[in-house]
Amino acid sequence: MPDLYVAQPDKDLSIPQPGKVVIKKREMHPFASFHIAPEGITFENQEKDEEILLFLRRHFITNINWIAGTIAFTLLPIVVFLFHTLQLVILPELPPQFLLVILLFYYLIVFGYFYMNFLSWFYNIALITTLRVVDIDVENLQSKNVAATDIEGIVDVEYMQRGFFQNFFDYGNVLIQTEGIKSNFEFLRIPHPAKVTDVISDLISGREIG
Amino acid sequence: MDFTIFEQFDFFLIVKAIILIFLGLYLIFAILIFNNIRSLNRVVVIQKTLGSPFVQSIGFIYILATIFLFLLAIVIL
Repeated sequence: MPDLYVAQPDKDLSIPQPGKVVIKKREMHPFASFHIAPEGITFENQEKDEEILLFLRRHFITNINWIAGTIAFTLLPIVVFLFHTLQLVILPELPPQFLLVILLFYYLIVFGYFYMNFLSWFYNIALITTLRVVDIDVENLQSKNVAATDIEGIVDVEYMQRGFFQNFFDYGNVLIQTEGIKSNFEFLRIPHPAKVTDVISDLISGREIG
Repeated sequence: MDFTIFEQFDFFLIVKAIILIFLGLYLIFAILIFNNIRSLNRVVVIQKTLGSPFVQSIGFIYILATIFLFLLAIVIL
């Protein structure tokens, strides 16, 4: 006699644990702005079983202002010297050793400007791990702010891309809302914000990353 | 009377003093940056050839360059 009803085995209704996500690590360029599962990155208070899923920095194109500024400042003494030679600019008469020290000091300051901006970009990092979201904010190297929240504490994640440049170079802001009184996280001008949002959403719901 | 006081000072000596003061302040600034890099390298480490150790060594070279210029200014000015 055929069975009229066969009970299906219970589906796995347990909530997947974010910590159990297994991903393949890949080598990362140290100046990368976006990397999935980077190898060779560690951070303070990292748990033994905690894996970094996403490594994020500001998109490299956002550095164009200070890179252009550095090039302009580097060329400025040459331009001033040319103008001086053409007698368009009159410079104070100083002994050559004074000019040398002032010129070297000037280039040291230009390098300082470049280095400070580079460090500000290099150390402004966001990490999305299997357990939490870590945001490292550095402002002019004088103050640093390290914030972290558990994946379970994330309520909502959204992204914004505004203007021609952000859409053309595919970068934007990602806002992570956390529950209760915890502060929200904002990753500014990061590459592929849609992909980042997707990864975090997958992580919240416990789906496999990829 | 006031003119004699000013005449006693060498203009280039004042310029040298100003340059040395600024270089001294700049050296403090370079050391502060280096300390901040060290502090940041404790927070996150990028273990690559061009990663955190490289960035930190650039900071050290930056201090050495400032010291070199400070000493050069003392010697040649």
